[in-house]
Amino acid sequence: MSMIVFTNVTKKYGNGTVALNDVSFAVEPGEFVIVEGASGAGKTSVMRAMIRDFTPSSGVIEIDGINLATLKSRDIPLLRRKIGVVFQDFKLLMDRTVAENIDLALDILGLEDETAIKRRNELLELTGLSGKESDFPVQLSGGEMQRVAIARALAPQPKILFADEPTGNLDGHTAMSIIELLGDINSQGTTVLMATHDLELIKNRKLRRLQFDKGALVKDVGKKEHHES
Amino acid sequence: MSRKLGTTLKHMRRSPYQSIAAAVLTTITFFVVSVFALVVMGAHGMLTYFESRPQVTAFFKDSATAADVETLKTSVSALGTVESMNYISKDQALQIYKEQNKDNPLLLEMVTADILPASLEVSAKNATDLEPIATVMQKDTTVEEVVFQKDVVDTLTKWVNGVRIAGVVLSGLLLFASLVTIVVILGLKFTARRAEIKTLSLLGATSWYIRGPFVLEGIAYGLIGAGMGWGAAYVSLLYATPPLASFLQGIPLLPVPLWIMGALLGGELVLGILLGGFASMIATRRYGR
Repeated sequence: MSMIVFTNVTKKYGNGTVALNDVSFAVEPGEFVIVEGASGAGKTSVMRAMIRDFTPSSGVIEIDGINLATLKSRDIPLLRRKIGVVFQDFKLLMDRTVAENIDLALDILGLEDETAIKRRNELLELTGLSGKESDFPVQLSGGEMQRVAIARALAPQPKILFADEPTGNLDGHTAMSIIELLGDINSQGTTVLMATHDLELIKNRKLRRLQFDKGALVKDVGKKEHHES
Repeated sequence: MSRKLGTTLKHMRRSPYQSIAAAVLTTITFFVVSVFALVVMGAHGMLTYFESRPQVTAFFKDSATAADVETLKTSVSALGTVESMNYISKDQALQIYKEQNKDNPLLLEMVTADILPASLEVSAKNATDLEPIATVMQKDTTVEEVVFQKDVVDTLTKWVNGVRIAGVVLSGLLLFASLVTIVVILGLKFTARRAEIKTLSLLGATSWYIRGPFVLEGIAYGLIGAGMGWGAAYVSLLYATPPLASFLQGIPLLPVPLWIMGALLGGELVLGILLGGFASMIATRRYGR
């Protein structure tokens, strides 16, 4: 069973803007997929559709076997715990420490204190943030802030991690370290989708690429196809 | 729940002036609600007191004899509408006067039984029976004056109804003002934190997880207002009890029993919870959609 399935998904807004145009693709469990395209190509709309931030005008989206069209509103939080989301601007709570930002996601799950602390320490270890627990976001570098965002996104142990331009605000070296971190997370079994317009960062990686333009999926460069090319 | 309470307190501390404004207005509202509730209960108690007292009193002339009193008793009893009758002699009248004014020796000086009239207090079965009884008494030549308390009761009833309507209207307006204030304040706070709320939503937070602290904050304003408003009214009542008791001499309204104050507090706390909870639900309803 595929982890993510988009079937003829279209999203049109009232003003005529087409965010997604008849998009169809499937992502298998454990894949690392690049969602590429220029600004406004539809990368973020794919992510928003996946977490049911909006309902498509037509088409079907299935996440881990769940048809989002039939998903009840009260079950949307449960869907979102299956999908960790990382943003270009991190979306950290600036008045809370690194630990508190991660704890927020753990608290949402309703974990016991002891379990939450154990899980937080695991996430800090995984993202290389051990020792930064008490720092506030303003005390961190861009790369560190993105690591906190990734740690927070991973808190509910999601099956899917969608990183929306996670390296957009980072220098080349830091951006590479974030991509390596996403690779590590993927190697542990998490399906990773990374939206980017910067193909330089992934030129040495044999990754599947979904190329978007004006809301349409114009090319699906598969892993195998990438080898052949 | 403890995290939600912690978040609620944090929200209140971060915008203290807004929080104080909401608490002050709800306190004023509940103070007015408490005062009107006490006034209406007191007036109702007074009405009950007058209704349960002899409602027609005939004061005899000094020349009236025991036989005259008996004649009048017979005439009034013949109507068949009398609940009870009580003859008060001049000496008994003096005793009552002394008891009522025991704290005021000046009023006791120079007063003897001679200057107080004997009287016949008649209680009717129904209020509608008072007038015929009074008519019979007024026709008796040994009677100096008839005090017909139906007028007093009617006037008091009008006052009680008036106070009740004024209380309901004023309390209703203040409750509405409090509701709007809490809605506006919580709405502003909710809007100010929309980025954080969006993040929580993306992390998979449920509607209650996000709205919970705001709902608790609204309830907190309701509870604070109810508690402080009631407290202020109770303290005011305690200060006002001595002069009021002197004014209402003979009418057993004061001190107000503790169970009544407890019931009033309980009712206001429930009203406060409903007010704050409803206001916060309105303020955060956009997220619920």
